[in-house]
Amino acid sequence: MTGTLLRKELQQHWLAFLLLALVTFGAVGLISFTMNMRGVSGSVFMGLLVVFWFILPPVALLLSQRLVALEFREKTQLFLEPLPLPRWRMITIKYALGLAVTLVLVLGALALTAFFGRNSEVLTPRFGAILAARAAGWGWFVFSFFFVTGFFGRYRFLFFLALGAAYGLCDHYTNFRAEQFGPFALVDTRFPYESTAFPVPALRTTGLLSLGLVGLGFLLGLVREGTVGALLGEKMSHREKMFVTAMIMAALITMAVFEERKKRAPFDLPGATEESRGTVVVKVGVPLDADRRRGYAVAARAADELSALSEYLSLETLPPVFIVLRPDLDAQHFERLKLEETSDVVVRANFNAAAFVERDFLDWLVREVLVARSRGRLELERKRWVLDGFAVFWKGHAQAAAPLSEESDLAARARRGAANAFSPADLGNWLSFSKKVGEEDAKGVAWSGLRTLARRHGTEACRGFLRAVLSPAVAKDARATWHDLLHPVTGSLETAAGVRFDLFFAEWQEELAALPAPSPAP
Amino acid sequence: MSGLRRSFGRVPAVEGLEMTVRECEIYGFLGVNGAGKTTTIRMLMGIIAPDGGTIEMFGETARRTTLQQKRRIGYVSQEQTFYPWMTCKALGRFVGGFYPTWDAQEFDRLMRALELPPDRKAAQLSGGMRAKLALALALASRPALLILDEPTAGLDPVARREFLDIITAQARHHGRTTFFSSHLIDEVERAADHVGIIHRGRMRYEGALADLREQVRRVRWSAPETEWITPPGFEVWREESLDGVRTLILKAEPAAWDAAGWPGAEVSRMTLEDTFIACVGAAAAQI
Repeated sequence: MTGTLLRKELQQHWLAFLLLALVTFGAVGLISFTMNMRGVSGSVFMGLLVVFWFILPPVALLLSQRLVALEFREKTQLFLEPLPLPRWRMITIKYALGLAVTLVLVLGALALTAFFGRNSEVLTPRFGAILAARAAGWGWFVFSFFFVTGFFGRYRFLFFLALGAAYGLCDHYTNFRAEQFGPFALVDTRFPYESTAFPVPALRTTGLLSLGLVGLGFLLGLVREGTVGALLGEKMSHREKMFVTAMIMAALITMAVFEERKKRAPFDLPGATEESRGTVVVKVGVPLDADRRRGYAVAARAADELSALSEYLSLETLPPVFIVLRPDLDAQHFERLKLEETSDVVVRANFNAAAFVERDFLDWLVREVLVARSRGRLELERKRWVLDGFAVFWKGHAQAAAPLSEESDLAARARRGAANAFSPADLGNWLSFSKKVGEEDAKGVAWSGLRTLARRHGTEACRGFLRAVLSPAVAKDARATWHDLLHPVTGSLETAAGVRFDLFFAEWQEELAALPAPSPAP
Repeated sequence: MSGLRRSFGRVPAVEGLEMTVRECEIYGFLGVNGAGKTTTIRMLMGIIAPDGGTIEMFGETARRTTLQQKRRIGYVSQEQTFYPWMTCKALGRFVGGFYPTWDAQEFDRLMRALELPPDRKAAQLSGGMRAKLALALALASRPALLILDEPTAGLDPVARREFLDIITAQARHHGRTTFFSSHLIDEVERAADHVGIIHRGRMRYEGALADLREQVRRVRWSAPETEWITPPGFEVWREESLDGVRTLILKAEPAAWDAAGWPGAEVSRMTLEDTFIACVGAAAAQI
């Protein structure tokens, strides 16, 4: 009985399964090829996220359409019902088959990506197991979700719209972040890199959620002998269409009105002193009983520095900066507060302390402002070397074309950091490289790269490259990942500075080799 | 079946239905559209569960038809919703997988006898062919009971006649119990040994059609000045007056009709169609 039904499903849908597999695996191949051609650094599994976010949901939707919604739409469930076949078994077979196909696609995509990246990615058994658990969890959730919505019949697209609107509202008006939640956390930006810890809480939430969805699907399929599913499977009447259109219009109008009324209040420091230079705004908050003069001076210089940065990188906007005095903080230590739902930069420093070094603070602030403006994406491994290099490069950018050896301290760090077979792969695995050679020496190496570019190809070429990597406005959602994939650092080097990466790296090696022999790290 | 009930929301579809189908007989289940025929059949087939009542089938009594019982039933539905991409042969293979008693040779024989093209897809079959295919699929498992839900609906008169002949011949030849529903009295009259008339979910009459014809007659009374008294043992099904003539449709045992005198009245037999209309009309009047 089970075999007969399974054979029927395979006969009916084999072509669809094959096409979906071709689309999924084709996308994996295309993304891997594009990443390879464009020299995108970082993990090869980064591209898999695009497949999981953009390809898998429509694939699962189509699968559920074929397996569930089609049966109701063509009323062929009426043909199955009189057969000596329990309804629960019919639904179980459909669910199991759809899930199996989804898992084959998901795990196949993972295996294919691992195969394409076999020369650049170290895939330990544990890392592989973590990746497989994350991918399978995501696949299970996505298919279960669309399987349930298959029973919603004519209301399923309305449900998707409502869900999208609800997500938009939550995202806009609350602190709920879907990407930190259960199944979404499985395929967040940690996916390609997390090689040691299993995301147990996220897997648990995903499991519970998927089981809940499966339960709901079975309920809809079995309640009142499936009459609910059959009724929902009917085509929408003209009156219903009118009603639904009116509801959507009403919802859109309500949202628009709501949007007007509920603009989120921006962060502010009441009573703070403000320094502004064009679009750059710096506010400094000092307690009434503390000396304020130093604070004002710091704010003024920070505004000058950020204004210069803005001009150098052609940044149209910079997030407002709030500097708060924290007298109990070590003068050499600065801290940035993480604010939900805003890219405003709120930092705390003990600028009234005698040991406070303003130059160090400003260099640190420049880096934090760039990170905040990019919503953290500049800290991703594939761009990190440019950010680390720029944080040091910025201070002396006016003499960017001078020989590296003129900055003896930085040159020594660069030579030391690059002493041990520094290669292009290290740029893609920058965090590992930094850990290996030490953060300060790694920054020295990155600085030397930017200086090499300025020396060999001119300061404007270097500036163009930095603008291309550090300046683009970053979208809040998955488009940012898409943008990163399309604009890898190596690609930006070629398009913005007109320099081929292999040539640049050879020049960089030459500059490093020309530096005096390194002394042991202090 | 006994005391069978089923409602959809607040609307009762079948209310306390009592019915007996004897082995080897052809039972015609007659009723107008919306009378509750399909709901009853869907309960018999175990597709939907009754809200109350019991079904005794093949010596087993249950609230709902079991899987084992379903394996002994052949079913032809009102609307044939085959998988359009499957050929006749493939449909046979598919349906056969669910019946341990499936006879593939019998299915091939039926396809030949019913002139069904084995390699044609279901989507390319005419209405008549689809009905024949459904019948072949229902018969090839050699069922003990054949249930047909308005199987000829949508067929032209020639195809309908042919279909009924096949059913009758099958039932007579194999001694197979056959239960079929229809809203067409001539169809039931032609094929059934026994009928049940259902109206608004209740059984109105159960017995032989010939008996029904004997029991229900029309009485015309053209002396309105005299008071009409219904004789004992008679049930008034319908009553109307027009141009001084009073017309009554009465039901009683044939012996009662013979015993009663009808001075001033004209008693006539009715066609089965009129009898059926009077039957359901009487039910409507009572409700």
